[in-house]
Amino acid sequence: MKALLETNFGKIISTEIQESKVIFEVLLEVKHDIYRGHFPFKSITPGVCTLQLVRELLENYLGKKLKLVKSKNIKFSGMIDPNITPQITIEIQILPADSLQQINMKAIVLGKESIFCKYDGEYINH
Amino acid sequence: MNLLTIKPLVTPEEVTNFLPHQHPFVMVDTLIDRTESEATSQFLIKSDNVLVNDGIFQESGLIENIAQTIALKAGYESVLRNEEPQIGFIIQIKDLEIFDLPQAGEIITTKIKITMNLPQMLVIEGKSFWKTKF
Repeated sequence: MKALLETNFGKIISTEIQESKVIFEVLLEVKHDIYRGHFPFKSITPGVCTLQLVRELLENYLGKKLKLVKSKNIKFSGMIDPNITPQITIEIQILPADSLQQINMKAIVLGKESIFCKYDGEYINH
Repeated sequence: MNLLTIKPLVTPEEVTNFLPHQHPFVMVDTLIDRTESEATSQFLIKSDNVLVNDGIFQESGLIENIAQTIALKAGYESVLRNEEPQIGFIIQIKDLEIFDLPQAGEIITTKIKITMNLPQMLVIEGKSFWKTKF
């Protein structure tokens, strides 16, 4: 099996660069097979899939494979129903790191009116 | 002692009876053991798992496996009380550390411990192991 972006879990509609921030608009695919199981009675985008999307977007943007090693805090403050909010904004800010092998970042995932997730992560080159 | 030789409380064939999650987003197979505040699960990572990429189970999958271990413990307890398994959601993760990523074909063992049990919320510590003999 392939990565989420390759299986059409979400499509990048636009990419905008603002200083040390990259802002992606992503359109979630409501018919993705994952929703068959999460959940049969109501589609909810799994929080971990949002985290996986952030990593894949960062990999695409930086042009390299990454591995998450640490995260101090991940906060989910709302649920994404792809039928209601199929379009989400993912803002990733790259922060100073201790070495060239390391990428520190923080990300925020937003809908039109609410914040879905705040996430900080330390990645290393894969 | 190999944990796989113990008869589990919940087998892979019946795991979806104890979870609101269904395939293809089931990230736990068996409930090995449970007490009031702890539980141990196992999960065989299949190569067609939606969170396997290039034969490697992703960090997102490890996190989901820990979350579904809690869900499975709670679901098992619900069914014992003749109730439906309830949906739960991750609201916060603190101090996550990933040391390695397991490959498809491997079995991971996950242990969780409830450190705070409030009416609508559980705080838990979770650890997931690969290639460890108990």
